[in-house]
Amino acid sequence: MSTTAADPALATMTLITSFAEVDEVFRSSDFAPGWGLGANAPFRAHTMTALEGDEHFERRRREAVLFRKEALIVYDRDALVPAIARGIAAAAAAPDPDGVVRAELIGLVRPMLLAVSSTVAGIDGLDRLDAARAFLADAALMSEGSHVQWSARDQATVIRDGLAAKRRFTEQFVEPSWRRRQALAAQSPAGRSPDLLTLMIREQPYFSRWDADLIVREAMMYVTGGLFSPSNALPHIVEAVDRWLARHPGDRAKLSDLAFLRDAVTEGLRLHPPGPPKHRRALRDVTLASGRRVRSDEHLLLDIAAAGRDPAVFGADAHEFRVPRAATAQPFGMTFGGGPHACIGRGFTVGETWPGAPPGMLVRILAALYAAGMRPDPDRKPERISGHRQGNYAAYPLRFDGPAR
Amino acid sequence: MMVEIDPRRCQNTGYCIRLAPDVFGPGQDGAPTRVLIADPGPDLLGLAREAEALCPLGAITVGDGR
Repeated sequence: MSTTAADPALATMTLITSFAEVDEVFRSSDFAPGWGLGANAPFRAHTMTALEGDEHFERRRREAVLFRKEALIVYDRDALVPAIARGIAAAAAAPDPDGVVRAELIGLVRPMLLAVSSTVAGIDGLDRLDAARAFLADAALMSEGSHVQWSARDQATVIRDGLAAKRRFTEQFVEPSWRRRQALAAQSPAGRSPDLLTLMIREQPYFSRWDADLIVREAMMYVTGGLFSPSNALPHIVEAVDRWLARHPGDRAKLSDLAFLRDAVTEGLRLHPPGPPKHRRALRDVTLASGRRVRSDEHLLLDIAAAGRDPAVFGADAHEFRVPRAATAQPFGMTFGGGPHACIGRGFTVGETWPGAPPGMLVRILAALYAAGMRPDPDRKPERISGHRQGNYAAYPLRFDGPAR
Repeated sequence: MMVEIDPRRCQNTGYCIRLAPDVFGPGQDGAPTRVLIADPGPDLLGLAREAEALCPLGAITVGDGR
């Protein structure tokens, strides 16, 4: 997903790179997400991320229940922590012939992330390591279909492959999970914090305004959204921490310090937003505070990576990884977007500060990996995805020199 | 239970005001959203907590909220 952009429309959009302008556009009700649905409609139509205005408010209000404090604690305790333990244990159980435990970071963490995103969505059966690994290829095809504008592959092929993956996802996972929840809902209509499918059953009068396939599309959005962006971000963070420790060896002891790791995650996300630029369409003629005039129906491409490195906000060393960095209102830059469409999973991904809050999904994973002695494998070079706009990695080799052995 | 808004995070989406207009109100001249009732009674507490989860920027905190 998101290699060199194939959609020629992208080249005609106005590129916005400054933090202030990106921030203003995100916040403004004069702009709406995207350039409308096209070939990716079978993946995104009427999902929360595709809605605008009142419809977005109504959907987000309902689905916000999935991210209440008590729900975040359950995701962390019952899904993430066991999945991390399973992943590290599986790696430790398969050392190389020289006795060293080696792994590949992206492949290692995706089942961990999938355990959480499938729990949020209410998709059963993906918390098992074998099932998760088998599903990841289909998840990638669905995600590529959803972001087809950014794919370097032939668009018709991307859509065909994505739809085939979606059919398998529907038959193997969504339909059985839906039937199970319908039976549970009949027995106990108002149980504890719901997952997405349970919420859609409870709120059927609302969700039945749209076609029945919305159930699949919305579940797909949660499952893949919580999977690829975090796993694409982690190699950048691990690499940045490794380079930081080479220059600041005294900080190595902080690898067990959750506050240090949270700063590292925040800084890594600021510098390396894992997803493509965001797009917005002007709903009317607008003059931004900078003086830039935007015409009605003009399409803007918001370069969140550039905005996150804006020296006007983050200082003269904005391009450098620094932990801790002086506090700003949005320390992770524009990685999670902004305004009404800001990422609904932001708090769980980076952690919140309320008493008893989970440390944040990425912080939790990094802490466990460092505790197991994880470090970049000096004998195997990471591989980047060819031509990827954000320089994301295809593979990031690790070795474990600690208790995981 | 105390309701607070982090003015550095608030981006004036207005979602909390639409949801709980008795608890939240607009700031003046583009200032961050204001808390109208910092210690809402039981009749408004549920809405305040819903707003806490709804806020896209995570700017609202309700007491110890657990």
